[in-house]
Amino acid sequence: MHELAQKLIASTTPPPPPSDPAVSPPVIDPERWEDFPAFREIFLVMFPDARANDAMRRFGHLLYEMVIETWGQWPDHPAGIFPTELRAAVADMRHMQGALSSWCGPGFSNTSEYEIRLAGVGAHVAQGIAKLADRLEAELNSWQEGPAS
Amino acid sequence: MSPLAQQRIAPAPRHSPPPAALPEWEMLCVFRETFLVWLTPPGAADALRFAGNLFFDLMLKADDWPAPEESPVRGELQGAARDLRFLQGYLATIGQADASSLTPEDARLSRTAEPISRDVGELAARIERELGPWRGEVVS
Repeated sequence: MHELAQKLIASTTPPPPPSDPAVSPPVIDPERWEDFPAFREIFLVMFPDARANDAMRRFGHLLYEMVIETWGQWPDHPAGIFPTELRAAVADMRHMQGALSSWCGPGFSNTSEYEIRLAGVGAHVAQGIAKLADRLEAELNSWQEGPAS
Repeated sequence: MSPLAQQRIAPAPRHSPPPAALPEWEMLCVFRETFLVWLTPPGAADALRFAGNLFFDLMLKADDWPAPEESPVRGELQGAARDLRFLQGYLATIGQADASSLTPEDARLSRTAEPISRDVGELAARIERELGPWRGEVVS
């Protein structure tokens, strides 16, 4: 190993093992959605260590700010930003549909009555979000085809 | 974007072929599409999707972290409810756009987004009611 690397490693105290309790997902006020810009909560929920979770959230913010600062120099979406943002929302709705269907669908197996009930709610929400995505997508597609005369 | 960065990004990186049965949503678990929509240089959004999958794989292998106290389905639904609240706010903002500054087509889309935002909020509430208050949450 390189001498400098060896020195650096030797003088670095390893971080203490995580001892804090597992972190909970934050409450999201829909009006403050921009405070949660980059990472999905279903991803961040898998970082139960408070420091790791906080670091990921800060990283997400930083990334978002850098992208927004630079965005003006990048090419425009051919369809315009407004419908493209809505298509992105549809993509996220489809993602949610897929995740909930997978977690709570026919493959779900648990013996706890409460867990079975929760999975039932998840499956119901998956169907609901699918219908809403269909509605939005139909509107976007009709927009693309042009208004009916 | 610098020509060098552009050169490095294009052509767009491709995902490693997923295992046959892996549903597509698992390949898109990390970054919100509403965030990636801002990355317009060719290949840039795919590059972050790819990096996101690397994060995801690394995270799945982290054994030393504290175990969640909640059951997996409860944790997953909690995350889902939060993401639905995000989508509710995002769609509401689009729904509240100033119609006078929009084209007629965009104004129509904006009008569609608002009721959908409310419906998304109701789905989030459906999960939240079932889960009850999360540890440490203040219920108003």
